[in-house]
Amino acid sequence: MSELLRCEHLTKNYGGVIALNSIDLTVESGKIIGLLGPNGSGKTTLIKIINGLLTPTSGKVFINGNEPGVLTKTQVAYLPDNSYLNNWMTAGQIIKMFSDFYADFRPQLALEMLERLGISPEAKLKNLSKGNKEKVCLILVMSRNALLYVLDEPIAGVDPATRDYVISTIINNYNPEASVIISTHLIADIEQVLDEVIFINQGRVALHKTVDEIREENGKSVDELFREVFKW
Amino acid sequence: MVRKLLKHETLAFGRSMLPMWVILLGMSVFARIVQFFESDSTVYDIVRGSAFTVFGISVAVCLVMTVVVCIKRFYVNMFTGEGYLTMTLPVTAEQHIFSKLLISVAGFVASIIVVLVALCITSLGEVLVEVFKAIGYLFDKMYQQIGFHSVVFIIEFIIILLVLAAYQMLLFYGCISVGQLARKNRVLAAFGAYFALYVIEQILGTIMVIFVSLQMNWLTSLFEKLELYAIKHPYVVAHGGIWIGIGLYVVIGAVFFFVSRYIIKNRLNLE
Repeated sequence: MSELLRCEHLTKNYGGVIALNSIDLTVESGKIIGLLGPNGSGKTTLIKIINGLLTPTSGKVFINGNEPGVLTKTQVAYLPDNSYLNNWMTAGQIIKMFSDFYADFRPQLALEMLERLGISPEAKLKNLSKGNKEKVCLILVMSRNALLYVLDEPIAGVDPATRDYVISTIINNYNPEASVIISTHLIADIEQVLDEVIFINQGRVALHKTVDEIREENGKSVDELFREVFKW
Repeated sequence: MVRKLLKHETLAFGRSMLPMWVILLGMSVFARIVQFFESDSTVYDIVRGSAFTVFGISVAVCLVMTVVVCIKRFYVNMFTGEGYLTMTLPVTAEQHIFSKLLISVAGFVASIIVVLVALCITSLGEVLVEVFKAIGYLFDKMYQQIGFHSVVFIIEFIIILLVLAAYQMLLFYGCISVGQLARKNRVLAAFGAYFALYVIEQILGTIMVIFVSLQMNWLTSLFEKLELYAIKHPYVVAHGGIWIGIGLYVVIGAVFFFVSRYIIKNRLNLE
């Protein structure tokens, strides 16, 4: 296992508000990591910095030894927490677009997953239900053979059946040598697939342990520990 | 990568502009058809007049829409929700700006061509033949008087149009990018940047006028020498002036290009 992600004193201020406060973090390859924290804890900010969408106020982040840039964008597959695709495009056109830009994209796999869902490649995104649209977004990301998958709230706002689909898609399609970072506050739904968890609170890493360590040392499930740590 | 960006940019731009181009050409055909029939009817006169009015409005809308689509493509695709995809593509900032600039200028040229074709359609027949005859006559006269320079002037005129279109786009890109440095109200900040640049341009212009009106010896002497040279070689001076102007716009446009590139590469904050 090698180091895939490293954050060094990573800080992000929005005006006077500190979103990330000198975070130091290391993530190794071959893991599924839960980035867990309440709303506004800094999860999305961290994810955006990893993807080069936000510039840190200070500190650095390295993906496979490189700061966010063109090279890291070929290695990181990112699922944002909001709808980011052009609604006028068809699923097939978006698959073609991903094939054009990402050398690691597997169009055949994406088409097969679409077919299993009964979504036609000719279907325009604007005509799909919210759940199906989110599934298409996930399919696009998981059809990449990336080094690091960063999924921001992939199971928020979808029904339990869709949640199961999302989780199984992640488990069945990610590159085993890669790592997957899943940001969520719906811990109970994903706990069984996680290797590690990172608790993030008020811009700081509150805890970074393997799921086994939590169970052995704390005698609790991740969900129980989360409720204890973030109790009001 | 630029080739792929150009392909997708063309698709998105064409999707926005194609309906407008079709409407404009359709309006020009309608405006031409209503001219075929003679009638004393007042209602028919109103229809004929309205057809031309709507056609005129369509021309204006087409040109304004081209500029709006160019600006919107840059802003929406780079700095709003779509930016989550655009900015995570393995593409450099300069490739993004360059591809958008190229398609914007090409789209601007396409809109002008569509407008010209539409104008030709509305005047199809004797009028159009007369217009082409007049243009041919003018060009002949020009060629007889100044020879090969007439061709060069036309080429320079086309280059000026292209450079000005690119410069204007880069100015918009620069202002939109500078607006992104603001914490809030980024669109307003972009307008602020545009206004500030306008004020700076006016101040620089005024300083130039004051500088020239001071009638400093060396400057007066330079102008006199230039005047004497222009009498002997008028076309060299004219071409030189045009190319200095083109060079100036290219340099300022390049500054806006690098300002946008710097902000997208080093100061991006998609919130």
